[in-house]
Amino acid sequence: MMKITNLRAKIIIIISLAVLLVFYLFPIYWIFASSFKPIEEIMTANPRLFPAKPTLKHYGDLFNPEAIYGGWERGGKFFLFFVNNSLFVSIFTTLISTLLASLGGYALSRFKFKGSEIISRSMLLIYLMPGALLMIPIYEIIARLNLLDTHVSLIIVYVAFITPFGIWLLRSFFDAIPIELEEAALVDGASKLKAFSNVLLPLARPGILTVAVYAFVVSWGEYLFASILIFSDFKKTIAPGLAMYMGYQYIEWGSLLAGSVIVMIPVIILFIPLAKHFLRELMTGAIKF
Amino acid sequence: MRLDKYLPYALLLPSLIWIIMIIGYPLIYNIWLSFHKSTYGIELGPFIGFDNYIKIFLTDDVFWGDFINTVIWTVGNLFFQTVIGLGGALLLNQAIRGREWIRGLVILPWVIPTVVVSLVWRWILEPDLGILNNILHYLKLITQPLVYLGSPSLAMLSIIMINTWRFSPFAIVLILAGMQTIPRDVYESAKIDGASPVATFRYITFPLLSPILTFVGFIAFVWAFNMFDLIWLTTEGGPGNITETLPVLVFRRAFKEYRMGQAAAITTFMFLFLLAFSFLLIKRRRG
Repeated sequence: MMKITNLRAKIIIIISLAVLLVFYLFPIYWIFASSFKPIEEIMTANPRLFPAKPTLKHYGDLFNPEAIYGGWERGGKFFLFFVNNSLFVSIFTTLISTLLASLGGYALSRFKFKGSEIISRSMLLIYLMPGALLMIPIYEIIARLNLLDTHVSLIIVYVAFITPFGIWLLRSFFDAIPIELEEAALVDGASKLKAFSNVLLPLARPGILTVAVYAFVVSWGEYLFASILIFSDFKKTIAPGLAMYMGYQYIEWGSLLAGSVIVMIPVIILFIPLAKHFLRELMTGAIKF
Repeated sequence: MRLDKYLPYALLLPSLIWIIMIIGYPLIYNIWLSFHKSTYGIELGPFIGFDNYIKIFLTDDVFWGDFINTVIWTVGNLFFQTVIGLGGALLLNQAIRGREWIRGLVILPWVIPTVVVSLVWRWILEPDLGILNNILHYLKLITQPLVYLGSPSLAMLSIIMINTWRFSPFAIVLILAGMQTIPRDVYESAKIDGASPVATFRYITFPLLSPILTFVGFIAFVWAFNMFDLIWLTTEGGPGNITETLPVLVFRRAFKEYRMGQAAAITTFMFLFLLAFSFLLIKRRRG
């Protein structure tokens, strides 16, 4: 850390920081602000920084059954379905991958066995594995399992992509908890699994929460697999669902802006408190790499 | 005791089976698929050896163009993300009040779902309604509205900037964490020796950061090289083929034109390309 002594240097730094913040945050503010504007304020070449006559109309439209069915011919408007479907997929993905990651992370942290190091390392590599490379074979496998156009197919795929990172993150989380605590429980006659669930798991709560939030955030916004594995409009999750409003001929900016805000809110609320843990774990990985 | 010996395997087994089925097996199956005639659906076409590869390498009229687009896109991302990442990290490493807050806020673009990211920017870059043209017009920098995502000259640069907006916070935070692992007394002794800030950066910060910069660069490379959703949701590879990278081509071939075998050959090529690149990188770091 460098100490700033020079006043001029300090001013330059503050101005650059302001530019940086505007660059990252203005676009997010702008979509919030625009989503509350009436349509006349949206469809103008001279937009104002704040909505002059704020309205909730676009939000209402998204959830209004009239608007939902009335918009059928324009690609269908099923926003409530999209939210529901995404909630279903994300919640199950989160539960399953968090459970699998806890067990796997525990195994890798507390037992030294043949292949444990290799498994640990490959978990990080699989985290970097791009989904785009696997879209064709995964599509074929899901087709063969007869699971195309089902939400189960998405859960299966998401769990596979999320669990490796979860295992790896929880492994290092468990590593940081002294083993003596469990040993004490073992001396008292508890079984290994009991020591795990009664002693280790409660201590690792922040780590487990981090994995859960990661799983939720990833599955909530995923686009590629959601768009190739699901065809029926009413089964779509929120990412391909929202993309349906982006037709090329006619873009319904009002609904789109409001929809984006609704998609964004849970992610921001869930992620921000945990960002610190998440990034710290990623950082340890970066050093070990 | 005997149970203990098998316990770790039992705990890992469900995850391993799951991962092997959905990630490991498809990786191999994709290669197998690339040696078969293209079909759509569950049936595997007849075995045709390297025909798909010959087709994409020799007779396909977009493959090499898209490959070059992929290189431009990837290098552009790598460049802007590491430069902004390094600059941003240097700024946020200063002793400024509210630093923790700023760090927490800067990471926001990284967690927002891709659909929303592409939408945010399509809205800002909209030629007639977008705020960017409005500001540029107000500042008298332009007289005609600029077309960003729809123009051959600006489309690629625009999507590179969008992706940089999205991923540079990740680079900033990782590089920042790397900076904090550099011991303080190194800087103090540099100061005693009378080193200028530029020299301190050049001879201390930068070399000590190089492992983390390599890691950040590697992730930026892998993610940009394979990026599909952001490009598809902003330009769909257009206008013309200007922003069509290999993942977009794969998607088009497989799910719009139903030429699965050829698409599988392209992904196999991409996979080998990535593998070769990673090996070179690891070798360079070890050697």
